[in-house]
Amino acid sequence: MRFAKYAGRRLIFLVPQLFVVSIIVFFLVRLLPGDPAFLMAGQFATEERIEELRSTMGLDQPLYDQYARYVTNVLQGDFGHSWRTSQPVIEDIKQRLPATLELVLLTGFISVALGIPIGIYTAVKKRGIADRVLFGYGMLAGSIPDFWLGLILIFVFFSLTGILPGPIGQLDPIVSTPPRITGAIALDALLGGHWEAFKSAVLHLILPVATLTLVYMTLIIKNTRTMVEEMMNSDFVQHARAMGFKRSIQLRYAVRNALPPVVTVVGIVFWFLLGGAVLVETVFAWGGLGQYAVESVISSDYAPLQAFVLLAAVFTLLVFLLVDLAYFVIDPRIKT
Amino acid sequence: MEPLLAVDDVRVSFEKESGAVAVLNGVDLSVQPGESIGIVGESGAGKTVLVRTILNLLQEPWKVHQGQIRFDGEDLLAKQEEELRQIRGVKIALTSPEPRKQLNPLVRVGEQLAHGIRAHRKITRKEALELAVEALESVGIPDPHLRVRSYPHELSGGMCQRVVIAMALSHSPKLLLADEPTAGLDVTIARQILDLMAELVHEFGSSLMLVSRDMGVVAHYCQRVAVMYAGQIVEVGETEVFYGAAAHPYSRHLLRAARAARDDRRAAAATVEARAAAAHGCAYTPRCPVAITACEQSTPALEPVEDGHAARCFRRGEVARGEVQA
Ligand SMILES: Nc1ncnc2c1ncn2[C@@H]1O[C@H](COP(=O)(O)OP(=O)(O)O)[C@@H](O)[C@H]1O
Ligand SMILES: [Mg+2]
Repeated sequence: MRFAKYAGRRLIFLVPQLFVVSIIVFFLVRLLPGDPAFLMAGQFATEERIEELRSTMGLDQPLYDQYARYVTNVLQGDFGHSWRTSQPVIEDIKQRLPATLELVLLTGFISVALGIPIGIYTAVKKRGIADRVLFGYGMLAGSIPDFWLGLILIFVFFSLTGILPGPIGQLDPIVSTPPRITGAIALDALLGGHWEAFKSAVLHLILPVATLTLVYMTLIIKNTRTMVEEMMNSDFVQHARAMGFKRSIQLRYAVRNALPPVVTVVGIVFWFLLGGAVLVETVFAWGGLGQYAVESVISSDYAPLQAFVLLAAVFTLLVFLLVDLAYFVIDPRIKT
Repeated sequence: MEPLLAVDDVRVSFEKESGAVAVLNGVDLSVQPGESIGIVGESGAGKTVLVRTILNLLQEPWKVHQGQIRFDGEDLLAKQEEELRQIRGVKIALTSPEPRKQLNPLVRVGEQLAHGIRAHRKITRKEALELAVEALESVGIPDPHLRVRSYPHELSGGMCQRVVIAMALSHSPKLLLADEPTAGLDVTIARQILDLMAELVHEFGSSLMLVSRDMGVVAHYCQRVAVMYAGQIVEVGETEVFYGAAAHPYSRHLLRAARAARDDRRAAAATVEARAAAAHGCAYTPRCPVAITACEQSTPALEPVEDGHAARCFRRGEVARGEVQA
């Protein structure tokens, strides 16, 4: 009940945030030098196409009218056309978003499911072998950019040993794509029981997911470890210790109190992952939204770019909304 | 009678990179079964460190260099964490200043009490929660069956201290270490808390080590008083004897300060400047009005003034009899 009230309030709070985001994205194209209609239409557009855009964008109208038009269009799912794919941007997005979500969510969940326990373990078992391994890993992860690590992994596991498939997207070309259900190929193959496709999809997922996980999980491990260590030394855990509480309860007290900051970092990691996906998708020819964004930048295809920036901003807002809600569930001191 | 607790020449330091800081410089102290002893001394004297050393709680960078702590026939400093767990909370319990900080902010107080109970008794969670309600009732918390569901931030400081006391007494310990249980509470609440503690301790026949900076509180609740200065017990004696014939100049100073400003804590707020002097001679020498040459040259031992009354002072006899103005 309290939760519903809090969640409702936070959702309402989302409205002004979205408003600000939409204004920023709206000006994104308009502040670039040159005719916005020409920019949006792309370099090979015909005169009529540019004229048509000029009227849908209402470029002769006052700015607030143009903004209202933009918002109305977006709300109806109209993000304009990509001149590069000559499709409505919304269609392109629908096609590519599942692949990116698959990458980002899978990496996120693995990073959390492994990172938090590893962080806790090393907080408790200081000075073990795990600790030294982790130290080395932390140093590496902190210094290698994600796309570079991706290339190294491809070199080792594909070029050198051939254990895993190369960077050619989500599936072997000889395997037929399973019928679309969610759009995420591995999931669709699993749901439809297409084992050949499932195996291939999973094998293709390993390297990009490993790349992103290796780069970003270290943030979760380090933060969990620091926070749990700090909480083990807190007055209340030390008091529990002084009162002879079971070791498992002492640890539970510490972990519980370490969670809020860890949740924040998890949110940040999800946010970073979207950026990481942009580069890693390009390296692995993943065919997701990230790669789409990069290609759009390269070919000055502004309509998809504008849509991508908007989506990324909305994704970020949602992630931090979830972080806030998690805080609320964890900490009884937060008022509705 | 065999003492319940015997602290013998305990030395503890805080190991910094720049070197070790001696914090306890040879503490000797004993506690008899069922007695209440007050530990007084200004802030920084080492009272809290002593209490934590007794429970063998100190971790790096703290280091116990020397000494022995015998409790109920056992050598506490020689024990491992898991053996200590069977003593902590069961035979020796603790309360600390700032009670709210001693409670987990994310867990209901009843649940925390239940964790404390189940740490040492094989009962179900439900049974433990029922005992938690009783425990809250026994420390005078109104509506205990509702209060078990409160979080620490929903309770006042005084109520939190009652919860901490309830937890401390839930296994009827033989010794309760109460480290400044009323620091930061207002006077009426402080009285209630101390009365409650004294009553419960009496009921269980437990011993009480009451750490306080308030000479009046100690005089009222304790049969014996030990004065701590710069990491040593400098005087120990029966309350009445002590208040009538304190034998250490520092005790005299504390008593005078307490009389001069009954409720003005500032008098006792001075910090220990004399730590460095401890290596040679008596640590109190720089502040002592009756110091003699010998005081700078060697450290006096804790020697008897009369039966059951001892002080670390070369001139303890003269000071106790009031022959010199200390
Ligand atoms: N965390 C710490 N770091 C360094 N020194 C400390 C720390 N805690 C206590 N000390 C040292 O130990 C001495 C005794 O502290 P404490 O036992 O807390 O005093 P008391 O409880 O009598 O006020 C202090 O004077 C201080 O020098
Ligand atoms: Mg203290």
